[in-house]
Amino acid sequence: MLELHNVTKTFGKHVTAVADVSLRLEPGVVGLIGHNGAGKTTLMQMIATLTKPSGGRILFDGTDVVAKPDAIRNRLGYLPQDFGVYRDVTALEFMRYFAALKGVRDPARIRRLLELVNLHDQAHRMASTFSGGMLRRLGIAQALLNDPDILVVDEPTAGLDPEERLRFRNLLADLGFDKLVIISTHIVSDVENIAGQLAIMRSGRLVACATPDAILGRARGQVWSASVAADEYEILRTTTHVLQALRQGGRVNLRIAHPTLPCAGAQPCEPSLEEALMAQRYAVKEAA
Amino acid sequence: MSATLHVIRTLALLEARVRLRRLSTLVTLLAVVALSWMMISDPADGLTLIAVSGARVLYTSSALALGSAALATLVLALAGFYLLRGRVAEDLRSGAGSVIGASGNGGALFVVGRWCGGVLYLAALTGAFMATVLLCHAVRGDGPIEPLVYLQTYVLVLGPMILFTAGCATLFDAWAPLMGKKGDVLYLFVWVGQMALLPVVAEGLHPAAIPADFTGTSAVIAALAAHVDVKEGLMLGIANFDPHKAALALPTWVWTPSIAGTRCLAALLALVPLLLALPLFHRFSPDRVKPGKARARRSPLAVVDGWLRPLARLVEPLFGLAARVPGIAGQALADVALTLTAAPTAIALLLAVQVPALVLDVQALAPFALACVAYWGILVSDLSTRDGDAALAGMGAAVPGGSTRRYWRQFLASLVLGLLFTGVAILHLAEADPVRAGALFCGVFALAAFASFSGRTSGTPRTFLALFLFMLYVSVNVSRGAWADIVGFHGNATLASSLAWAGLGVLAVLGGRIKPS
Repeated sequence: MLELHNVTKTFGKHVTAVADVSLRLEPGVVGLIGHNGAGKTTLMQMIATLTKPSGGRILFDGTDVVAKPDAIRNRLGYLPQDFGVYRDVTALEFMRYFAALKGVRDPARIRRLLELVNLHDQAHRMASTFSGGMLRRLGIAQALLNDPDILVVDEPTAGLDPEERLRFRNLLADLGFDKLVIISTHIVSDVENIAGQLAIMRSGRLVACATPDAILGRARGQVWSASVAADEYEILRTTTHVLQALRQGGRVNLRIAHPTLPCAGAQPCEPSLEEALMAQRYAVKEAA
Repeated sequence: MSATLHVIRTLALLEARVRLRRLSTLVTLLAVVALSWMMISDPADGLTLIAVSGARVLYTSSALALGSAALATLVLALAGFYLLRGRVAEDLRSGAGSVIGASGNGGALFVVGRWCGGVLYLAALTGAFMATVLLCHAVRGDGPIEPLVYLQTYVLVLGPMILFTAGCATLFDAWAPLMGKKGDVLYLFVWVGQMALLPVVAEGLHPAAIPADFTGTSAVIAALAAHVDVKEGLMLGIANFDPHKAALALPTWVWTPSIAGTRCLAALLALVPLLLALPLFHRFSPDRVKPGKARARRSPLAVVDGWLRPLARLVEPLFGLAARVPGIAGQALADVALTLTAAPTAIALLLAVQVPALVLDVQALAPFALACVAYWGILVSDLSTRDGDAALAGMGAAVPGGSTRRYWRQFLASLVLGLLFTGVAILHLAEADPVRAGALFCGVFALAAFASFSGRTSGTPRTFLALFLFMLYVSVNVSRGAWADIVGFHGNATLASSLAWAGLGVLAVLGGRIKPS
């Protein structure tokens, strides 16, 4: 469905935001994970045809989207990380405007989408008065206007409260049944339960692309739990990667990322996805 | 002590910068400049700035300084207050108020800092105004430009006004009961009260009242009276004069020590509002001011738009139509619909202008069309920058056509809106005066192109707005020459000048495309 071949983006002579990324993506939810500045947003912007790659090719159903951007735009829904709304325009008018820009002729679809994101009661309210969560939901409704085959969503849960995050995650998971949903985030919990594939980016490079189970499998045996005395904890902090430390009485309960037994009494434990990614990151760092 | 001064300096500079960046500052400055140039009339037109008993007072530095300062002080005393006002409400809305309230600095320091910022801001506006008057002097003046004469007069006339206006704005923001509309209305009465002092002083009834006139207009009259007999009849601003009467010349230094002294006294009295603000400052205490009460700043036009909101329903069908029209035409129609939806006043005016455009005679049609162009220009000034301003640049570029087509569709939308406002007038004019009709069409085309170009290159609507208002001012006030008659207001435009403007428009709209996305 979507193929990226050696995609590179440079700014000026010295800044490489995305370096030689190759990916092949099929319908489902894909989590694009990386720290701030890893190149996620630039990659998403290239897929959304907002910016052209400096090198490489992006193919959508075999068509080069750099040469023919409208081939993907007609089947694309895009929700950027930061966006606002026009002043003095209601949510319904905002939707009508984007529907007109996308050539969506069915007015009932706007109503259905506002219902889907639970904003139908607020349709006539000025969109500029919406809370962060409501604005995100309006944004996703806008992205779905043209019933896209690809949904590109950049940091979708930034600034949302826990309830909104859960609602948003479930919505994206539902959409991922028959569409390609690319979610960029640096918060692993946003995608760990809904993504079928994770693409890990670091310093502009794609360092891994695998299922969450595969990533967890690789980290097994590298994450440990231990209960140590406070003075021992101070030593372990300098010799291992402590993922979590919880003081209880005179002792400290630890979770540690380490390729071998970090201390006496440590037990291997089942890593969370976030711990697995951190363990992988530390392993790459140490290998380098 | 030096730390205190440092804090005040930082606060004052920040306040001045925040206010100078506002669009309202630019509009006010342009309005004051336009007013001053209008007041300092060209004597060749039979009008002058100051006339005494029908005799013209020559445009020397002292005369121009006195006349322009007297007029500017009236405008700035009113507009200045409303420009300065409302920063505390912004603090409350943004949450900065509680941070300020919880800071270690004293309330007096904050109030003085704000007041200094206000003074600095109004002084900067005055400085810009003085520069334009000096320019006007270079064009129309009768004697050499003497900057020190201007400086002396501006300090004496405008100085106390600036101190008083900034003091009132600070007091009305610092004291909770005056923070809302009550304060706005009250200040209007204060300003009107200042105006009421003018005849009292001019008729010599209460000279002791001069120090209480912070605007300084009574002092200007007193200064004039010291050198010419003003009892027979004094006219200030767009005054008729008898060209057969010998022109009068004011001395270089018009201020007598006693009048200068009263202005210094006025400057001291102007500090009273500031002194009152110090103990009355609410310090953002939730007991005295509530964030919920701090409403967002809304322009009068936005308020009218709110009232006319139901009219937005009239353009709803346009969105549906836009979705059915393929390609750029449909998208441009969507932009037209969005512009009208967001500004229902435009819908009301569109409905209102069509019949007069059809029935007015050609002479009346020219100013009518100009008024339509003026409103339209303001309406579309932000059309090419609104996606960026609303942080929707990415979302809008991901639709079919992308950012390249966005530029063209927004230009088309500006043009279509221009033709909606002036189309009937153009058709009406085409019958009686085709050249004038062509000028109006070409002018609208060129202005739409300049709006797109400047929005694209500068990323802000202010660039176009400033240039547009200036061009409009020039086209109204320069009554000779085809090139200045951009939209055919004076009937001086020729086919060549209209085509030249259209050509410049083509270059501008193409030039905007050169800038990469």
